[in-house]
Amino acid sequence: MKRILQVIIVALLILPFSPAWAQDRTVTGKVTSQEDGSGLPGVNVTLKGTTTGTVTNVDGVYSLSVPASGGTLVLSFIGLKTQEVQIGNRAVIDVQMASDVTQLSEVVVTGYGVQEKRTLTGSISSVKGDVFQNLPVQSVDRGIQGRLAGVQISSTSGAPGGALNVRVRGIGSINASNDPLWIVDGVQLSRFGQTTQGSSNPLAAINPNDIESVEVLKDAASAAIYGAQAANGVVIVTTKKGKKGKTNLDVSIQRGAVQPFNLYEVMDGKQFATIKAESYVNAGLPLTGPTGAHTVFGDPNDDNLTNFSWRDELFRTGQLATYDISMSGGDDKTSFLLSLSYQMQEGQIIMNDWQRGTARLNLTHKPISKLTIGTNISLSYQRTFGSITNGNFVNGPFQAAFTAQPTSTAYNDDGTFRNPYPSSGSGHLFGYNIVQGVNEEVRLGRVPQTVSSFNIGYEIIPGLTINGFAGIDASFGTDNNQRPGTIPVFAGGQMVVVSRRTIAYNANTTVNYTKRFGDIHQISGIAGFEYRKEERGGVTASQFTYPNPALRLLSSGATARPAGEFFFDNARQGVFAQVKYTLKDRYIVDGTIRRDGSSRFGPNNRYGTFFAGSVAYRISEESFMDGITWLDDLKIRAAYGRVGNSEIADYDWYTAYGSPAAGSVGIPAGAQYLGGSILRLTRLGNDIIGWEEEDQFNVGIDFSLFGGRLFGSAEFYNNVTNNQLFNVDLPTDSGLGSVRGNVGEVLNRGFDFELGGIVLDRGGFQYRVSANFSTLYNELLSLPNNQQRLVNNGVQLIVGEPVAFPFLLQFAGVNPANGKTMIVDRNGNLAYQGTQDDVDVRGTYIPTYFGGLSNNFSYKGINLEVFFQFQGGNSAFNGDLYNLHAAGSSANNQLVSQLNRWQNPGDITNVPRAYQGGIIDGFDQQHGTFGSTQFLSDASYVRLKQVTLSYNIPNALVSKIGLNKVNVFVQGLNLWTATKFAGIDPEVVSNNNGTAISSFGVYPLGKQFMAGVTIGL
Amino acid sequence: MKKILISTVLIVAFASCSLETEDQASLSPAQALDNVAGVQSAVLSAYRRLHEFDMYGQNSMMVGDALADNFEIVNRTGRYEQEVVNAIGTFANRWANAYRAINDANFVLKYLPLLNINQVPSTATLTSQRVLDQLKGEALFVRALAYSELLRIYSYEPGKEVNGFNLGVVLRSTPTEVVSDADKRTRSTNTECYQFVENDLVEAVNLLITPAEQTTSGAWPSSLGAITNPFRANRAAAQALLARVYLYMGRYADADTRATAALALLANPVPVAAASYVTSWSATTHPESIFELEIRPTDWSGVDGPNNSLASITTNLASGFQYVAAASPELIAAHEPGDVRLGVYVTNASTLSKPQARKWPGEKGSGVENIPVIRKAEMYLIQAEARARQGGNDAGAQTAINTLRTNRGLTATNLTGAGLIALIMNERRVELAFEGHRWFDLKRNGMDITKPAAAGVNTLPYNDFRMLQQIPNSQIVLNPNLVQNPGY
Repeated sequence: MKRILQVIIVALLILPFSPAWAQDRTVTGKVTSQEDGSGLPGVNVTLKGTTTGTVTNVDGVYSLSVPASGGTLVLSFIGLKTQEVQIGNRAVIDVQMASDVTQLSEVVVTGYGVQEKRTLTGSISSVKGDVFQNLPVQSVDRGIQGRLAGVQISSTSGAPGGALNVRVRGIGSINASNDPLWIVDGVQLSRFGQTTQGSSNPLAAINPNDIESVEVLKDAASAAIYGAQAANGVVIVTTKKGKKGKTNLDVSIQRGAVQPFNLYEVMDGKQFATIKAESYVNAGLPLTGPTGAHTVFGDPNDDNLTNFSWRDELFRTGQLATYDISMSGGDDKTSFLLSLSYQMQEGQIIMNDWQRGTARLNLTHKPISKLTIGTNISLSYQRTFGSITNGNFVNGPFQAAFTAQPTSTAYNDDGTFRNPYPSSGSGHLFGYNIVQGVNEEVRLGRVPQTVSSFNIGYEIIPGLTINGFAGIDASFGTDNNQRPGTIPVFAGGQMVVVSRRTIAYNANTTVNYTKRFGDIHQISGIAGFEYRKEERGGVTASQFTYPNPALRLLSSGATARPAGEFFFDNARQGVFAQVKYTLKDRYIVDGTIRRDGSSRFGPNNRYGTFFAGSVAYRISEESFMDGITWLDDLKIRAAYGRVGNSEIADYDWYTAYGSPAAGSVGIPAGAQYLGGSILRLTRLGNDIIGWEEEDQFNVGIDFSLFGGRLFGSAEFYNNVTNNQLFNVDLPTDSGLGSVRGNVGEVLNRGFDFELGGIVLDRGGFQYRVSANFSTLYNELLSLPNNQQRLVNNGVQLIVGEPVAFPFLLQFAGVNPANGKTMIVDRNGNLAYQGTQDDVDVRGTYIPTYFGGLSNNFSYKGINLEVFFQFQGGNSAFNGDLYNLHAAGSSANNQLVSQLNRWQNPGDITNVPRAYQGGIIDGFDQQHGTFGSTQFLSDASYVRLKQVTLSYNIPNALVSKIGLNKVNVFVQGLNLWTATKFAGIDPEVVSNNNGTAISSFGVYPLGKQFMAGVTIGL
Repeated sequence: MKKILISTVLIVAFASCSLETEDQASLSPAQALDNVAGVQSAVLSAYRRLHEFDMYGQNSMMVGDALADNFEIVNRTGRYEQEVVNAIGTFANRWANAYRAINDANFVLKYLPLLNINQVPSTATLTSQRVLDQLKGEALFVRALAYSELLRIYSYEPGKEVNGFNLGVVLRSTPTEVVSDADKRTRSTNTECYQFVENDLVEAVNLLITPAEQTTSGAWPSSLGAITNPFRANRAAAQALLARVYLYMGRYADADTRATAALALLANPVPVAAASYVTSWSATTHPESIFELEIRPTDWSGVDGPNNSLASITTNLASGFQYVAAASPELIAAHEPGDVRLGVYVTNASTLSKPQARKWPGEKGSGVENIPVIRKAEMYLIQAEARARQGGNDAGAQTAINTLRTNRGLTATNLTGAGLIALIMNERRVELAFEGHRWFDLKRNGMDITKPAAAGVNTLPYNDFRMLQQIPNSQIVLNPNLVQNPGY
């Protein structure tokens, strides 16, 4: 039946061209996709200069009568590059068609609507979902890393499902969030992750394989319609929809592995015992006796000295698996997409894993021709078994795997965990056996989440529609953290349960209008109203003293502990309008205005107005350009506008007197004294704080040359953020630390380049390149009260410098005469000890350039993508080296490089003399409170981010077993890195506003390898 | 049909649009402190600040021993290692937390006078006015204690200045309630600061209830909860602290008077008997306490026991305890034969090679215990030192010191003059070891710090700049009016 239908459809399509019977010979052939080799149905095949033509059938096959003399075939299809082929005397002509990479006729998703890319006046970068289809990434932000000019993305954690920093055109805010606004099918996502048991990423609720496209609105012209939320850019994620036609079923299966790379090389038992003994001798401490080095750390000359690798015990090759099923289709009235997925990824550290299941239903229905209703329902469930990271925690494997003493083992002879660690009983790492801890502590986070919406649209008159939208991002996380009684330091066992909920919903009504008056004028516009509310709350409870580690409910604990609760909410509402006028398809003017109100500000400063205006000129449409045949398209554009940022804490504008939390960490119960409740000032308010405002200027040029062989854009932007919402530090003798204020200006300025093209296209072989490169100049322009310097949350800020920079003493190496580390003081002299006056700016933590380079090779269904990602110009401070680069002075195991310690006068090395305690004659060899550039290094890197090799099994073979499509692929991520960074991973340097300030124990990325198959039924 | 659709669309968007929020966690100060229970909660907040770990909860009780000569590092965990060798750094950092307690007290002192006396409860023992007086007296006491702690760390005592450096600390007598209150102030002189502390305590003595009243059943309004002695300040505590402050100021006659007055207010002024001295340190409430901070397990997180408790710093009595420091051999040697106080230092051949101090056994579990801030024994030591240093009253000094000595298993002394003073100083070292006094006792007398041999560093002369601690550098950068101590 299906076959018959197809034949009828094809016949109907061919009928209009039937007058061509008179021609005297026939050419046939098959039109296939250059990307995957599949047959392309519906392609127009015409004889140039005539009305003779046909379209390809469902398998991409065509047949056309042509004159005996031949001629030229023209093959065209929307979205593909039109091709002309000389017939000659051939009877069979197979043609491969490529995507129209110029994409200038393409439609892009913009705020509350869509626009044709060729008439855009603002700055929008976009990525199609194919780019990260089937990549072993857990969230879309990882999938678009390095793909977009002006969008700098780096991991804050390499943990599976971990978070990333996404920075659109720099760092505009010092204290408010710098995260862009993420919108998934109209739902404005909450910024807050729902578990603290691992690195948590709010975007991980969305299966990247469900995504059709990602658009980043980078300037005021494109983003001002989001007003007060637009200063950090807006990322619009659109998921796939069903298409009219037969129902497709795609199944994808992948398996793979993840491996750690570039881990620190630490000493073995003998090396460690040797340097410890030396450090004791140098410090005048005994080798023998109860506190002697040999007793505590072992005797290096002991042939039976223990040598245990904690690192090898804790790191591993983890498994990856992904299973995806999606079904889509539709008819005239209804279309649908249904997808299910399961993904599992183990970490490179033992016990750590992440699992996610997702389900999605995208449904559109037109009960009558003017009315469209639709819903996108997305459900996900994430389960994380986390690992302690991002801190100098003795119970975190990224610290203790390297610092635990190799002269002690994790196990007793009978295989049980050694307690207390280490065998000497010295109490190193608080006696905590890290291998036992990682194996036995439970750090479980479970988060069900939905990002779902409902929409309705009605066409009042042609060109005028009214739309309603309501969407919700709701998640309910539960964290269970068990510290079992089998670990002695947690005497009796401890259990902490945190239950969190975040509910963010937004609703809007828009009226969209578009009208063309003849060939000259075109006008379009949007007007609307929007409301958003976000509510976060949760309960923390804990209980101590458990009879057995297998019992984990709070009700099993014998010692009652205080419970705590938290609650925050905020609301925002806005009205907005945008109008665009196009004259003769070449002169374009666009204006946007939005007025927003936020509960985060006091009544006097609650509302702000944001706006943008932009113009564009499509020079290539002018008649005087007609002679320049190699130029397909050329547009220049300029935009200026003001957008806002209000991503600060919810209630900062008023002074609060309340009950503080008890306990210096953790349990947020109300504090008490002598059984009585406590009240104190918990926040100093400032009711005149208002919006951060960012004035954004953008100019750009878009071009397409040589029939789409070379295309791209170049842009310059200059953004100044005013009224920075600072935590202005107060003198602590006031009893308080800081207060919010609107002070200071930050400049971000840079160039964004995107360039794509076909380098080689010959004999079915095609080599395509897509590249982007961005520069970023960040500068603090002013501070409150014309100060030149300010300490903000303990971080130094200096006018004229970037907003994040290393502020350190200048390390001057080790004095060859005596093995002490030195610095260069403010007068340029060498010194052993620096003061505040010797501390200075040492470069920047913010990358000054970044980008990506994708190389795509394809030949007869074989496709190879080689993708490099890079960033640079920044330094990073590696706090791990405080522990690991200590010249044997501490009880921690250390880098093998520490064996190059200074030993004799004249030794040239950067490792000081081994000296127990690390303080030689009162001088801290790591430069104490100020720190020096000793542990600072250039964090620039180039990374081979992705290599994917895929093969589309030819249709002829595939169809024999009743399938539509079979694609097999192998891929690898993070395969190679070039860097000078003195740490594990230059990408994952723990974050401060997306800058590269490293800290202790970050979770680096792993190398991932995957193989998989996608089958279309 | 069309209208229905359009209105449906509009309703979707306009439903429930409000910018109201519901902060469930806070009030304005005026709302919070418009009733006597709220004001008492602010007083309790100030007490709670005092047992933070960088106050009496840990550092105040340890750093005076570490910087001087009572500590020997046993396990190198990074803690107190730099203090023991007097490295250049920021130690004994009270600049933030002491001022937080001061700010809490200043809120009480601002809002308490605004209360309606008719709404303040009374009892058979205390009138409403005396209930208010007690709360005010407690605020003054906490403020004075916090300032005296700041002064001994950051300033020279009046008359003991090196190179004439006479700055005290920043004085604040009103709360920081709005931004302009947090102005950038200069340091007052040490004399002005000590005068400020003296005024607070003299007033507190007049306001606070006596220990006898405090222990009278039903004296405190039941609606205001507990006022258990010695966990909230009474008149004896104020007298005792004033005695200590006068001793630091070198006003020996006043110190003697106040110490005597403090003891006179106690139901039992006699020090703990020799036989029960060692066990007194494992009693939940120290029997000699004139003022003690109460700590409950709920005040700490699960890891504070091993991470931060005094028991963890000084012992390995529980798993995970760090046992950072033992008593230095010099401290042990300072004891005379027969001294029962040697009994708190535990050594045994098999596991403990160094004398482990057991003053802080964490008897409430997981390292939790109360912190005695002022003990009776200190009053006898103040009487003795004050009388001996005034001259002409060695007999009185002997009486005081011998009251203590005979309760510590020692014979009475009949030394006089410099010998007597040296004996009293040694007695202070031994009696108050591991309670954070040693460094400050040497400093206020202008004495050099002889370091223990194990520290491996030279004697620190009194005129070394490290005798004053560094004000946190961030504060100096922030506040151009704030002068750093010399040398940093």
